[in-house]
Amino acid sequence: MKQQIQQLIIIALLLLTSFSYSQAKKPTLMVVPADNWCFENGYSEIYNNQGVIKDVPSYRIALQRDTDLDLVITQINGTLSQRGFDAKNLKSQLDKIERVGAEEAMRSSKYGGAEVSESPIDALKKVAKADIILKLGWTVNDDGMEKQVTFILKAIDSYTGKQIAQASGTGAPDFSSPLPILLEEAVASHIDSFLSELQTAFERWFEDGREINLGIRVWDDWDYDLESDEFGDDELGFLIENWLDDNTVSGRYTTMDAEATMMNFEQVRIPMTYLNKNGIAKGLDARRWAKGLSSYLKEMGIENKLTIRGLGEATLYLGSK
Amino acid sequence: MKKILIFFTILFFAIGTTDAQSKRNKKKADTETAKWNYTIECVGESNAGVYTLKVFSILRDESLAGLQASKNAVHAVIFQGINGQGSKCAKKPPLARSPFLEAEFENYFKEFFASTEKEDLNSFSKYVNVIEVVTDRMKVSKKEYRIGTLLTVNIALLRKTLEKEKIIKSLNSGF
Repeated sequence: MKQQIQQLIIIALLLLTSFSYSQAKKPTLMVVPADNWCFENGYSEIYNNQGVIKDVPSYRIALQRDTDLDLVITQINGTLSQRGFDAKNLKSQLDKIERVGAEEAMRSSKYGGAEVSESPIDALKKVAKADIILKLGWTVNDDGMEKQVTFILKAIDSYTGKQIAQASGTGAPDFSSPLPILLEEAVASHIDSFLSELQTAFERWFEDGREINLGIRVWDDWDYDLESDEFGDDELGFLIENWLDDNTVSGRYTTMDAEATMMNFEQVRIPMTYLNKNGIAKGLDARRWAKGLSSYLKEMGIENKLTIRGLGEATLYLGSK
Repeated sequence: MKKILIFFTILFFAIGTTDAQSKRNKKKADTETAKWNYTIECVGESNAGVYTLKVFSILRDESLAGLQASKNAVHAVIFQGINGQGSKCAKKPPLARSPFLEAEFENYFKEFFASTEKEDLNSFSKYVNVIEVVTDRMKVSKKEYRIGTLLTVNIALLRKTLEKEKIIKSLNSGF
């Protein structure tokens, strides 16, 4: 009897622990200026991409030259912090990237003097990133007498590139207030409806799952392809789809392409949490979720390599690592 | 002795009448509250977290204007949201994220709108500051007036309280 009571207490404690940890991964947020705002104000840099000259927005130049931008970002970050989200600060992120870059440029190995290897892809990935990017921009309509600010703020889900919240509008004409005051009013005016839309998107994530994209590729030296039926009772492509049926929220995903050597899945809804080996619910992300498919394929004897592009796009290469 | 007796009798009746009057007033206020008969417009929003509103309440008794307008403003902020006013004000969504919130927490909101103690966090009056009790007055029927009241609602504090009491979900709930 005593033993049974002890067992019950242990089970209750385990359940309590699992509930207290059952939290989804908190998305990271960062406010950045919109691309067209940067171009309009001349905050861009020209760079040579393998012979192709490209004009790209420069957040650093924008922050250095526009004091109003820092003001607006600080105000939005302050409101987000009050509502329980500590947004990444763009300026700090840019400083961090620069510092890490400088450190790695100076680093060489102890004996051979070899430098840290960095592929062009790694260098590209060093741009400031977050789960949700808040892009803001404004224009000042000045007729010589009165000023009016048209403000636009939108939230882009980095996983899918989809817009999940927006707020925009033109403030009342004003002939005396300076621009920073008008901008502060614009933020105060739009932030509540913006955050309400953002909350709706979060609630949808919890109900329908987080949306990601998944790609399947085949190395050309592999002896099989996605139409091979040596791995089960159906072609490999269909076996992968069956796995997706079982491991997505309500089996929701869209097969965009299905060829012998590649498959693309979009709007793949993955759960927000998963149970780890100790039975504790933890936040689930695209990489961790795709690891499940990678293990399933390995069990069938298919060696594979898992890569992540951005934050919400996983690609599996079949045939070898 | 007789004089003392008369004095106490008068005092007893006076207290009784005052008490009955205040009970009648409360009943009247409660009746007006239950109707939620109002329209609301946004006047300004210069500070984040504070709305300046003009509430038009339909009332029989003008003396209830300030109290009723305060209740109406908080009711609108929680359950209805505030419509935009052209370039003057952007649309404000309601704090309630479900249309059934009022029915779901009926007892909580009954007490919330009944208490008028400024110190009580679970009282509507904590979040409202009346600037001008009567800005407009219009007779709409034989006994009813449409009375405009200018006030501010501290929505940031109100949201925090409702989140703490687990009446509404916070932006980061679940994470």
